Amino acid sequence: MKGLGSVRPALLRHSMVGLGFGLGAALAVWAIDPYNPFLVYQLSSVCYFAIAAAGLTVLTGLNGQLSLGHGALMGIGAYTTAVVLKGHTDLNPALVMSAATVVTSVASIIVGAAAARLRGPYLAGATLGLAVGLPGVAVRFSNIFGGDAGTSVPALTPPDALSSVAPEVWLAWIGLVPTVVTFVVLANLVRTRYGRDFRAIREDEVAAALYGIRVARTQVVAFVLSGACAGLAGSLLAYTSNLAAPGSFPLTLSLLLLAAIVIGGLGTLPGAVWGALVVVFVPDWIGSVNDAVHLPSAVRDQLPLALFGGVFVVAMLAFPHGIQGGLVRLWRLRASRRKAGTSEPAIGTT
Amino acid sequence: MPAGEIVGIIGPNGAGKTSLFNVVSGFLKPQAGEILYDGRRINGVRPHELNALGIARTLQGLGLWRGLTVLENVMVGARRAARPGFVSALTGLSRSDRYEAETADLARDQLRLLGIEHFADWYPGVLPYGVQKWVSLARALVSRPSLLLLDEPASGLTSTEIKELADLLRSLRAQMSVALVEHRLDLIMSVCERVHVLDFGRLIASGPPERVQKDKAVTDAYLGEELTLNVAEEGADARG
Repeated sequence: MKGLGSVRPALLRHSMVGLGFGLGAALAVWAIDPYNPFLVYQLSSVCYFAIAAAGLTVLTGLNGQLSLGHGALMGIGAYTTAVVLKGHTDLNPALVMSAATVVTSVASIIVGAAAARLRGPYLAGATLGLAVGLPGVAVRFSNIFGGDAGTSVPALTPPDALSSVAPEVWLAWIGLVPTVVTFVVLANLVRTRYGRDFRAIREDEVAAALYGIRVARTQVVAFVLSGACAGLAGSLLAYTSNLAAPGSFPLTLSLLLLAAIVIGGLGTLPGAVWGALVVVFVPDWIGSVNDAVHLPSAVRDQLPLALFGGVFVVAMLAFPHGIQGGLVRLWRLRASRRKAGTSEPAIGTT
Repeated sequence: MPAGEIVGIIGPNGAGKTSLFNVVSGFLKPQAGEILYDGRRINGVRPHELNALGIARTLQGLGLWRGLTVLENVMVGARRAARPGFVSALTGLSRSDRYEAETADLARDQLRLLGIEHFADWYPGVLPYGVQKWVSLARALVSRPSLLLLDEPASGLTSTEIKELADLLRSLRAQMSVALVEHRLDLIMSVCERVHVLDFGRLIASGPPERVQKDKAVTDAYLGEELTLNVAEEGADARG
């Protein structure tokens, strides 16, 4: 008989893990910077990819709604950031990011309400339309959004008291805050009845409705939640690249996010982090390998893309449940070898 | 349908037994007539509102959520009116923690009542069909419904398991009314106080099982199907 009715404070546990991770990462960034400032800059990209992937993995992995439009939702967050900052250059980033999150959430209510009526390929098609169409809006209203060239976003600079901190380190530190907050909040949510309801709907909508779940409403909640993450991620992306431009939110961004959550481990929050690391670092490594070998330019230009695809195919063959799934399996193998004989059944999916 | 009674609904294939359940649970709209529950008209109730009304229903194909553990399946069934909101779940307030722990306890108690608590952390897909059936019953029972709608609970069960099911249903009589759609006449005859027979959507007979079994209209409707089960005596001593 195990832990009957033991009340474990989830907030405390998740916050401690989140804080520990955040502080560790902040320290690591500070230590790496003198040797490799570009790596620090890349870690900021990992932050926004991880936030967006975490939101998408809850929507697609747990709730079963496939979205090909999350790149466009990131665009809404990024443009909100750029427009808000246009008038007030030194507005507090926390305020700006909150504004981007709120605006994207509102947009997600509309998309989510439509999405709740659609299933499978229809939902994919509708969100695909969003990904393709939304950048066009930015071009059409060029007086507000700056057209093809986009709108610039002022770089974050450390306060005077911390003037010795390099700008890229400061950016990474700022990026870690919303990342930790997002993961703590989502971890809280996923382990409660909301997480169960999300998954129950994914598995069987009829049964979910019979047992008192408001299916459509819960689906909208999941969409808005994940849209909010995308908006926050988009805002951080704008700060990182100092720009909100249509070219930053192509369809491939949405697909990259999907690739990230699948390769990381669909429906798992740690998987979102693994996926973000993969989509940021793997293309870069492939690029540097490619540069090192001397190939004709026609081959050299196309090779990274093919290799990137190849890495995904091989990874999915090796880890059908993504990196997180593979790690969990390894860990269980070790645990069961240690306890030889007594096998524990699977608990939870996250 | 009187309180505390087990009512059987039988009829040939396509008679409208499951459709009747679908109308009551709001998946289909009645073309005519009223659905009265506890003196209230519940026409047009939406499926997700049933639970709050005290009606629980099992599905023919079990409808268990395969990606949720047995315990989690039953926990969803145990949803209570006083549950913490979205913000409290997001921020991980202790209110939400308490709800989770209490719901888990409720679900565990229900599993223990049915003798399957040791499967709590398993995923239903890997369990034998009979156990999955108990899980789906646990999910329906955990909300302490006053009306339980069972859609073919005996299908796929062995005869021993059907006997256990009959015992369980009889023990529920004190707590709730049960409506039973079933093909297995032996189960119907052994647990039901009353049987309604449907054919092509019409009620062609109702009454105590022994009488219904001899009804002319019923035997006509079942023409070609065997009604020669030795259920009469089994039903009699089961009730004794």
